[in-house]
Amino acid sequence: MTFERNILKMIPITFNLQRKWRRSIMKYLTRQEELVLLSAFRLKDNAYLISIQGHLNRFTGKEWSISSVYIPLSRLEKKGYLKTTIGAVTEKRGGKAIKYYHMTKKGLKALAEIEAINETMWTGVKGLVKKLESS
Amino acid sequence: MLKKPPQIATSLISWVLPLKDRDYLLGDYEETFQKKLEEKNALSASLWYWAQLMNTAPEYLWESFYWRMVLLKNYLTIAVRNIRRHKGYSFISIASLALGLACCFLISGLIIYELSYDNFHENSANIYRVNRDVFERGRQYYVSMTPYQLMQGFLDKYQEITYATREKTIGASFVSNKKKSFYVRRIKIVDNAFFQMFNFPFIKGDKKTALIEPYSIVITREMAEKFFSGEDPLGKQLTMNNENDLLVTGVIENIPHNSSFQFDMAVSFNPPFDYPRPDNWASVSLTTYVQLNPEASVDEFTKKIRDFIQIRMDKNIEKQVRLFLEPFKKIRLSQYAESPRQTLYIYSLCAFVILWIGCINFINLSTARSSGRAKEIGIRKVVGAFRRNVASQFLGESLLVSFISLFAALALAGLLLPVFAHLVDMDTAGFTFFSLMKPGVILIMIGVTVFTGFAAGSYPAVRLSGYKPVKIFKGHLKRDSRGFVLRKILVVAQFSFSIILIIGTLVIFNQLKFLKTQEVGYNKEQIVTIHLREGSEKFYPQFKNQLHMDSRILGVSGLSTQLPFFGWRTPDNDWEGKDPDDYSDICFSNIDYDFLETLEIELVEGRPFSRDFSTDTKGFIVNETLANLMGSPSVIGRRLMINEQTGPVIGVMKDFIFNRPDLEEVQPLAFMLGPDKVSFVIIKIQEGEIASTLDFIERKWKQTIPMFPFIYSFLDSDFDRSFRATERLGNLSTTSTSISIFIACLGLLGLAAYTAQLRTKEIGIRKVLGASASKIVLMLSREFIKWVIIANVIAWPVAFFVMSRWLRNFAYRTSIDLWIFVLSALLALVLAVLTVSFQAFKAGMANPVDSFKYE
Repeated sequence: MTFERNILKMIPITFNLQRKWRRSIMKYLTRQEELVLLSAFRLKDNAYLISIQGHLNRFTGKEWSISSVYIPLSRLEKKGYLKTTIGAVTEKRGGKAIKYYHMTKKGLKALAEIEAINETMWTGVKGLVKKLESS
Repeated sequence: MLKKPPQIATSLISWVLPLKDRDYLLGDYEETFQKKLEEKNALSASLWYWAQLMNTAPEYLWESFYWRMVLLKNYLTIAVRNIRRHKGYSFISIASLALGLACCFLISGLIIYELSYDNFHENSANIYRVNRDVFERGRQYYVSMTPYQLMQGFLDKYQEITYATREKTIGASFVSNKKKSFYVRRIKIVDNAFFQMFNFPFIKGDKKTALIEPYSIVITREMAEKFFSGEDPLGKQLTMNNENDLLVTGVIENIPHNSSFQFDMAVSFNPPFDYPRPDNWASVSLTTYVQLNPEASVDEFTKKIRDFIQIRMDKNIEKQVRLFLEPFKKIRLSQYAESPRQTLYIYSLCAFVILWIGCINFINLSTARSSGRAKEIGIRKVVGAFRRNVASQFLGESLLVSFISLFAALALAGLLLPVFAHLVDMDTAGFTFFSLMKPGVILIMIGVTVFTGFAAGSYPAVRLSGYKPVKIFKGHLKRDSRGFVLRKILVVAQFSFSIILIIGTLVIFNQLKFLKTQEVGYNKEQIVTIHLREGSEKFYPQFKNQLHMDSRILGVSGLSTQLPFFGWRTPDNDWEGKDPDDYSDICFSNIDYDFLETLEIELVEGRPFSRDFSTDTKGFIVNETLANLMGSPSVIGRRLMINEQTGPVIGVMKDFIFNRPDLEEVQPLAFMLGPDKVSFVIIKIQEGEIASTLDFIERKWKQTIPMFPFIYSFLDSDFDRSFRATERLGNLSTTSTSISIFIACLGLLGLAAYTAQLRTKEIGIRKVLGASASKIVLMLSREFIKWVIIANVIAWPVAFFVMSRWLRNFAYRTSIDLWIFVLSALLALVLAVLTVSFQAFKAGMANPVDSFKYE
């Protein structure tokens, strides 16, 4: 009987644990997702695939292909960090509509968390680029 | 105007893009493309576009497939584990489906092969055979034999005809050139147009002129090699029957196996072959084919030729003959052909039944076993699977197993092909595995496989996936030990089909036995027949005299046509008091003295031909059918006219079967005396002295007719040989029946084993409480036996209907007796009981302790 009682005692604990996990564990984003999310945030109302791609190309100095932008974008959308609106049809796009991405509250929160983590992680290790260049 | 990106690349890209965002992404690609276009030239923009395609496609595909692959791997593992854990059940279901598919594959191959006959003639759509309608005692049937002059008459009169040819098969002949001589079995006499109408490709010579000259001959490649081995045969001489010198004017490819015309040599119709009375429009013994203009209307042409012969014949036999055209393509499967359409239906039925029985096994066993996987479904659902995931898993798994069966079936078919070809009496050369791989057949096989897989998987996919996991774990889900209704229906269907096949096989064999042992009206035992080839007939009297010297030879006689196939019939007949509306053909033959005595044909009235009466040379002996046709009171002494011979009837013999023994009823028949026209010698030999007497006959033959080889046959085996097609059908249906019964029992075995397994504990408890092993066997078998009995009740009327339709093809037929039904019911029941009780016995004998330990 003691065994059963112990089990019964454990039930509320597990429930608490679950709730705690749900609150605190923000799913970590991949580096690509993080960069794409940040670009979408910076581009504000003009965030769509091509503009994000251009933005990323400029800031990272690497060629991002459309698919490599699209896949993180669509994952972010699925996870609820971004929401979308459909824009106008233009001839430049071969008669196809445009899909704009906007930040959601959840997305902003995630960015904030990343910023916080980054800040704490990077304290004390500034000037790494300069050090590398001089050596 | 904006320039568009490459069309092909666009459609390729749009194929890999995720559906959800396809349009926007396409827009993105196009926008970038336009930008590149502004920056650089069109070529580099297009190149970039293509490069994008190459780069991005794998990424997208990977994204969409990765997670599915992970699951798929798990599904596959589970599927393979399931197959391996239940080896017995898996083997039964895979093997029965594979066997069913393999048989279906082989039989449909056979059907396609049969249907492919004569397809290689380019003009076959425009070629027709000229047939004669014959009216006889209210019955109407047709004959494909036409008069000698018909072709020329047609060609002179009608513009619609492009080509026309006559065709006649003469029996085996003795052919020689200076160095070699052989018996050539299949020789045809045809007109020059024959090779223009029918596609038999020429290796040497010109098909347009090959047979224009008299005394020309066209030979097949095989014959050319045989006679001339390497030399150029063109212009060389061949001698036929030591009489006629023929000039080789062409060499054709060997005749394909699926051709109705089978011959080794074709001789021109002009001399040397004299035709008896070529000017007579009533005398018929060759076939005429015409090729019409593609523009000509067949119906109108048929109307024109309808009375063509009629107006040219004697007035007193008017209105007897109507001509009509039969499309060449349809001849092969027509009623009187070797493999009539009904045979093909029976073949299809066999294929269908075996296939179904195999499928049902597969479905039954899979569905029965799937209920044991309820817990797996429960776990999957708890972990997060949607209903559709579970459904597609089970469907996929069952499709996987059914496709394993398909490959096993193809391998099996390849292995069984030689056996099968032997069974149905097919040329293995024209009937290979790859010739069977027709897209249609493969498509059907794949279709059936997919269907079976779906049907087997649909029960767990639809029913089991719908249960709530909680219910499954609490055990609310009843394990269906009794099976659900569908399974019962399927087993009953399986056994009904099997029983139908058993009955069918029994009826076919009964009929075959009946045909072989039927009273033919003469004694065909101990009779040797020798065909006198053209050129050797004149030695007949001498040969006969030689044979008479020996006491072991009980009788020698001869006739002008072959037994059991009489080829000669004529509408050119008349007698005193003949009904002018009677259009009967009369079969006739010239016989030697002693003919009736040798064959022991009984006379009803009158006397046989006798040397004592010189007037007998003009006389007739008729059979009862003709006597009845001529009417009462007595026909003896009445004058009869057949083929311009007029004379009195001197005897009436009992009807005997002289035509195709299976298909035709006895026709009116008249014998005329004609010892000089004998071309088939019949010799009655004393019993027990066959070998030595044959030696004696051969010696005498070599003395009198040394230039022809001695070839003989026995009348009774000739007679039996005419049932080859029926025998073939019998063989096929026996095999089909055995296989289908085997598969059905296999399925029953699986089901019984499964039921016993599910009820292991119940059986254990029963035994502990005092049930005997026999009681348990009975308990387990009862259900299955009930099914088999129901199946019998369903199968009987169906089988009776089908088989009486089939029997209607035969002129002489057995009845479908009750014992056939009882026997087949017993057979099915005994096999089912044996199968089931084998399992039940095992369960009944098991130690109860083991059964409690089970699980």
